[in-house]
Amino acid sequence: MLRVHDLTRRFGRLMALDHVSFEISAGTIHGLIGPNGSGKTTFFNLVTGFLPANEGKVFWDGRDVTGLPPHRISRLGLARTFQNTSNYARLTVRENLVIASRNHIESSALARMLHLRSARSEEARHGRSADALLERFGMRDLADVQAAQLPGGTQKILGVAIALSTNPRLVMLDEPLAGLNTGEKAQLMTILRGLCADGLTLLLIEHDMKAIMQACDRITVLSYGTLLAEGTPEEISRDPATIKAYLGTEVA
Amino acid sequence: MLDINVMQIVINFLSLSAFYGLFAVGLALIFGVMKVVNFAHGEFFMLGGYALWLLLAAMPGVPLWLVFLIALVAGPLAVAVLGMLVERLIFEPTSDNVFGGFIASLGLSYVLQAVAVLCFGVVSKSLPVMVPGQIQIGGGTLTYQRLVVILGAVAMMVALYYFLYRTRSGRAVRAASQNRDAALLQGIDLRRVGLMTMAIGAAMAAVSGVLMGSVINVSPYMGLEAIWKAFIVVIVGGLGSIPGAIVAALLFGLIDSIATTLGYGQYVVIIDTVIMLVVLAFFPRGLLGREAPPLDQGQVAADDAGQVRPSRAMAGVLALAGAALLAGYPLLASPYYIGVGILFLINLILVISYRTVITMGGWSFAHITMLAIGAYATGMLQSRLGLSFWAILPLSGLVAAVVAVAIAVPVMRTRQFYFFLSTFAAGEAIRQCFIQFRGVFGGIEGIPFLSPPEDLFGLSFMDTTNYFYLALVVCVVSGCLLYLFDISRTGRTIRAMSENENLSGAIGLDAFSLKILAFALGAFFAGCAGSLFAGYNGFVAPTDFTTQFMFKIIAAVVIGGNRSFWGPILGLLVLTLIEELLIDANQLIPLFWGLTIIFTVLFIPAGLEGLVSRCLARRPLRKWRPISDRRDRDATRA
Repeated sequence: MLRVHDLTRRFGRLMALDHVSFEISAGTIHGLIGPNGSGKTTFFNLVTGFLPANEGKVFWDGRDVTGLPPHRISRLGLARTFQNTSNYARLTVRENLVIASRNHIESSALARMLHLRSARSEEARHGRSADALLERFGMRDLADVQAAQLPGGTQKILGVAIALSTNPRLVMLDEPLAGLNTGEKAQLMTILRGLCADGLTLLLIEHDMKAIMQACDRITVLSYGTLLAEGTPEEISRDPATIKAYLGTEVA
Repeated sequence: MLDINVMQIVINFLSLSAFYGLFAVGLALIFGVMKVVNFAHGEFFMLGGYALWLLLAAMPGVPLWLVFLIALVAGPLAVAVLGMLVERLIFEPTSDNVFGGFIASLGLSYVLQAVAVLCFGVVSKSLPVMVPGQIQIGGGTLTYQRLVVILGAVAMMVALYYFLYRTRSGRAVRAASQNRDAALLQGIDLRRVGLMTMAIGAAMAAVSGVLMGSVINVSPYMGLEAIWKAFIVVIVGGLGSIPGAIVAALLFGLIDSIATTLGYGQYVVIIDTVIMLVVLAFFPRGLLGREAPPLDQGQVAADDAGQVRPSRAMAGVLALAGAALLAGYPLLASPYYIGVGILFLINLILVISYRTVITMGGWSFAHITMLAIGAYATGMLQSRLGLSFWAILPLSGLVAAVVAVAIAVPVMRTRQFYFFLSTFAAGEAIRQCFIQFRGVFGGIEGIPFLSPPEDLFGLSFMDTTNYFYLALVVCVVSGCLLYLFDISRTGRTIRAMSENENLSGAIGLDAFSLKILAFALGAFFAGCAGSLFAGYNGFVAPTDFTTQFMFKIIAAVVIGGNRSFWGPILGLLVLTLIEELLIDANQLIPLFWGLTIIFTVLFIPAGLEGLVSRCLARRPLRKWRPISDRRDRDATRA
């Protein structure tokens, strides 16, 4: 579904990502792990068009999407979340999701600019789908609350809901569990597994090893910008290079 | 074969670069530390010039070089004290809202200009040559005056380098400029660093003022001309980067000296702007600007103003009452006040469309330029092609929108201050085009003898009352369309997008196109207003489209508040009242406008509209209480 080939990005002399190639197959939960600074978020930024790649290609459904701007990538059905909370702080939760429904728009641009009936009824429809999505996230009561007033963990979950509103087929989640309490973590993981069962593909950056090992079908390990290992959770947990990268070498 | 005096080019290059560098580095230093562009920097420069003039007047008979030396010490010292005062009174209170600080400094710039006009008169003072004499080097002439400028600039740069890299205080300044929070955690007193930076920056501007005072004439508006160049230099160099400012100063010194020596001096503004636009198209942060901040920093700012809004019915009633008042206005007013009313309506279209522009997150300084383009389009379409006014009115808007899109493509990649400064430069360059290309645009005289709109339904628009109603109709139609846009899905999306551009890209919004849409839409209505303006005046002159006019539009939006559609209208009303009350003392107008703007930024940041709607709004019936304690949230954010 998503395939990257020799993806490379340098920041000055630092090699943030060094000829990384791997593939994510449809309908799976794919984990991307690695110590801090190993290039995971850079990978996200390259794939979603936020940063230009120095070398390499990104293929989405067999189509070369390297170098497309973020909004084009998003319109192709590839959504992402951000590591820190990111939302429209002044809008309510529902408005956030409606804005993010841009990829569902069918009314004409003129109708949307002049606030015509067709645009208004379409927006109302998007509001109802937003409510349905909030129901799934257990946030129905918060629909009319301003995003800035939500506690940090809820804002994090709102970020995932925003990404889901864009009609994606693949969602790339950048540390969705960071900053959540245990209950919220379990709730979010249940929701994510449910989404996957509905046919959505997920790519997950996460430091919570327990969650990663439980949820993922496949895991890719990055370290200092290079691909260290790839395989099922069992293979990864036994992989010596991964263990070394995480725990360091034993001093003999 | 052209006879080019290479040595003269080199000499001019050095002296121009020295001046640009000296002036722009102060601006870059202040930006680097305080993250705010000090618009009043040009006025510090101007005050340096007046310091020299005052000392000359106060010390007759004293040798010129001695007065010059005294001025070189006393002028910068006095201005440095003023700079510290400005830091304490304006920039420090607005440090959490750098754009507010910038707008306040814009107001301050007008206040200082007005004060200079009041104290010293509008007429520029020409000073005697301080250091007479010149030398010939390789066929080029170097006056000692210019040599002093070059040496002074080099000395200041060396002193600045020593201060920044060899002293403890300098290290604190550099630390604060890299990361204010980290500097604070290291125990650096940011207030002290701020004061120090402002003092140094202001003093450097004043030194250049004293040095240049006898080279160019001293006038209240010399700062405005100088700051234009400084903006171009710091934008191309990269805001806040001192090496960048020096490199760009050298670049523009070279370009300007070549252009001037070859006899294209009058096109310098245009040439420089084109270069700036080209640089921005490739380096949106300037040549040596810092690497873009980390990408996924979605800022989450709690909303202070809250959701208090007057009900829609209330707003509708007020709008109707306002329209009825305007419709009845010509029946009560004298012909003079009908004229004032027409200009008010044209300004009204301008402020409403300007608000549409700023909803996309960038404060343009080229809105009056769009008015000018509309007016010129009207003049040319009428005098060259003989089209009817009724066809010209929308066409003028269209021309302005097309020009807006053309400037927007390089400029829109920039953000915040870059956007403001580059539109400022682009606007000035377009105005220069109107003045310099005489054959096409009629030069400084503009396009005279335009006929008023053709009769419609038996109404003659020679009659000012009828023209008033024409302006009213155009104004109401524009207002309704822009209001619809404001509440439409696209309008709200643009406002949200300006809040968080990264997220907008991630959810499929094309921020670039949305911004251009808002910019071009605003330009369209400004262009239509320009058509009305030209039709009313019966001529088009480049001198009508001044920075002060632009300042009025910005001031209206700041004073009224930009959160709602109605704020700028309220602001314009206040400004027009000030203007009409002071009609007999018109040099006081910018002074009061400036003071009002500073007052607004400092004490009512939401603008008058914020105040009014808080009074009008019914209390919301249910107020949602956050689960967590507020203090707790602040702690996690900080």
